[in-house]
Amino acid sequence: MYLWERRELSAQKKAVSASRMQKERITKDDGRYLIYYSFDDEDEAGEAGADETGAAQAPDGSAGARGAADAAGEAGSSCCSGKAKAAGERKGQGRKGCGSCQN
Amino acid sequence: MRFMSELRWHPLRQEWVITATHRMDRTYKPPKDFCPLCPTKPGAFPTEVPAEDYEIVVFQNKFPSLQPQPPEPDVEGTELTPVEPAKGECEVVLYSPRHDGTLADESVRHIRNLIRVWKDRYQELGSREEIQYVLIFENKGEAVGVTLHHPHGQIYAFPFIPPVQQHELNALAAHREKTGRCLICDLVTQEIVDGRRIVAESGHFAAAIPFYARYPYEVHIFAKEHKPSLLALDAQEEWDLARILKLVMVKYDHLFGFSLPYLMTLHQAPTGGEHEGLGHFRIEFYPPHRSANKLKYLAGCESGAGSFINDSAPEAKAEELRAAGPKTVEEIDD
Repeated sequence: MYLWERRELSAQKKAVSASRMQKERITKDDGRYLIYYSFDDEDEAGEAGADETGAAQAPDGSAGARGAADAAGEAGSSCCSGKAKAAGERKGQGRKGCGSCQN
Repeated sequence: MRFMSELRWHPLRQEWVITATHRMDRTYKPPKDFCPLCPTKPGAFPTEVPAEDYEIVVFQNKFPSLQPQPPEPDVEGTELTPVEPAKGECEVVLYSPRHDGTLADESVRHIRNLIRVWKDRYQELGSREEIQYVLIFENKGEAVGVTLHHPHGQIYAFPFIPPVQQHELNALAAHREKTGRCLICDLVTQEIVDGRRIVAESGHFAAAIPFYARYPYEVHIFAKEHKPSLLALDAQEEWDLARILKLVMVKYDHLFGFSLPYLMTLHQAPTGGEHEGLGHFRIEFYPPHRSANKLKYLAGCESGAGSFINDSAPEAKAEELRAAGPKTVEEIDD
């Protein structure tokens, strides 16, 4: 099967607008799936704006797999320490502290 | 010949061993013109990818260790040595249509795109009910047993928590119980404050040969803030990770003047089981070289006792890597 054929036979094409990533899933002759990933040409600054609020956003814009708790940083709710913040400031990276608790 | 594909319980190590005898027949170092991972060109032999070009491709491994519909075990288990079907998924991730080259040769933008593919696979595979852990990894170079040279990685979606991750999760859970904090957050802080083992830093990530490194040039790229998995990274952090990942790989290739073989594994929170969601994202590299022409082998002490001997000081090796190639992420071209 070649490129022009798979376009016709494509069973599923999923555009992920939030991340500007496209997925095209086909089934090979032997039954195995294959996914083509393609990406719009976009610059870093443009994307940063698009995802500003979405630290937990998954590629399809959902909260994620069973990792919803994961994405929310559940495990990190108590990870901040004065040491961590001090280290970030010492290195002059403008780090404000833990991404989970925003302290 | 009848193939065997099953999980056999190792009662002494308390872990599953994957028996997959069909993998003995997998493609072994084919000539460049018959690479199964290249695009299929008109008139040429059909490869795994039925297209003339692609950006990044993921497909089910032709010789999987774990399968969504595995055969019934070929042997009977006992109470001491149970057997289970080898359920799960094994995928191949093609980084590029170009046969020659490595991930280090790709642009920062392309590596950022790969990170998004990794996110997508982690999410999709992890959402399957039977999957408890998604391991993304790359074996690079013949020194680590690579049989196909086309730049690619792999993904194993396990129906159990693999033993290395289980040990880590137990340690994370114990530390959180004791201190209320994430163990890896504390370790990253310790490395940054000390500074001697830091190889490079970016806004959101730190690359270090950790205090407890087992291989001479073992670099870990840690998320500085608590990020259980790739799903917690925003767009800026994806770019930042792509840049420091490329920096580390370029440094590796400058170290001895050749493309350094390595094992690369992504450590993330499990997607099921007792410790679902517990973890701290990082990428770990295990290069087998201890010098330009000497390899570290997992010999008697490592294999027989599980106790690693690192015959070099992480502080000295970090200094070597700091001096190799570009110094900072700002020197990495997009």
